[in-house]
Amino acid sequence: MQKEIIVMLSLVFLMSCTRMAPETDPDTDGSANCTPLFPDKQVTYNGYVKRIVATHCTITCHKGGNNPGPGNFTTYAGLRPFANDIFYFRVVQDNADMPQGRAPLPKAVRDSLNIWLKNCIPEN
Amino acid sequence: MAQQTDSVKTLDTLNTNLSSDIPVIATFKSGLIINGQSNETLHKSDLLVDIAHRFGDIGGANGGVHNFYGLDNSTDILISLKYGITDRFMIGAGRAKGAPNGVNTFQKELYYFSLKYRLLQQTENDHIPIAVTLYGNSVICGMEPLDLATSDANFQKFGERMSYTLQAIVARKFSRNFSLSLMPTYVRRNYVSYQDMNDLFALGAGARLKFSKRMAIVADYFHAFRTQESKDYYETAQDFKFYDALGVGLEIETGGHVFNLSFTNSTAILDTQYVPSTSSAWSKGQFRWGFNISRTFTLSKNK
Repeated sequence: MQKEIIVMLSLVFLMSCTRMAPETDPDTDGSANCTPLFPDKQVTYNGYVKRIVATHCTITCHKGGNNPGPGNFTTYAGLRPFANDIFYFRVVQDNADMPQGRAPLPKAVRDSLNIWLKNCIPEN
Repeated sequence: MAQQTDSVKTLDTLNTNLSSDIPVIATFKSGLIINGQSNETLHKSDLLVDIAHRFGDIGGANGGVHNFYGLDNSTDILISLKYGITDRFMIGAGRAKGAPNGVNTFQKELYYFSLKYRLLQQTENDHIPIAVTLYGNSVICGMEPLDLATSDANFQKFGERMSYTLQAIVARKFSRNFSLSLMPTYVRRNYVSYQDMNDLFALGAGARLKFSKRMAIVADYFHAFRTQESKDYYETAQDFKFYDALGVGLEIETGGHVFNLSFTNSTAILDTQYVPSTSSAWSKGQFRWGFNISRTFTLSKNK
């Protein structure tokens, strides 16, 4: 029994490595291998998305610090990592459950946000 | 009813070396106090199905009547299976949604594997005055690497997805109605955010006060020994404060079920998240209803 426990414990702790994330984001352009799906449509962060996010996401939540909701969506850099992930899933798609109490947003708004995502999340 | 079966079973499996020492049973009524582990383990061949849930903030900026005091939201959900290999040794596995706070941790989709070993059992005659149980788990984060280099989820290799807990649960049942435990805890996270701690020690404390035949008040508390340097960085650079996890609950035993109606400020269920990364405070209304529903299936025919 004792032996088995030691074997199992050592299995559990086999994977070990240590890493701490850097303080600031090294400039990597993730959009390098992305082609806009709707090149004739112009939906940009500064032109449209910023205003939507400011109205619906960052008044009490999603603004960093101890405020509820992950991420700091008050800047482009803060929103971008979440855009194709939880932002799409919880805000843009038809079964969206965010923003809380006002979900889903009007289809027209969500369509515009979706074009922004499919056009490689442009800032300007 | 359940208590009676418990004692019969425990007597059957009494270690022959200690035949004169009657073990103390039911120090806690389940394997979990609220957030933390108790010293209890499953009986041999028992399978426990456990579903744990944490709702959203009851009060504060994100609570209130418009999301029905948090019930519209779920901060964490855990589904797990636990199995008693012997009366002293159990294994478990499960999956949690994970509750990233979006500042020092971004990890979600957590799979875990756990071991729990009852090292010492308290005896009625105080020949052994305390119970000691060892607990360990390893957690694998299954999410897609997050495209955010400053986060703890921008995985480059598999080992970075792992985090671990090692814990000793030292418990004593002082009377029929009162039990207390201390839980020195070590949390290892292979990959952390800037100025967070890969190795973190914490001390937990838990208690159970039984006030009627079927009901008890339970509570547990975890304080993490985070360095001042780390706290200062998060407070000044990120405007972010860490809080200790405090759970308070009512335990209602209804035959096969142990219904745990509890309230806690921590959003996460797994130790590797609520010990180092609790960021919501009781004082701001950021506590939530949580429950564990567990059901034991006895798989062995001969009792």
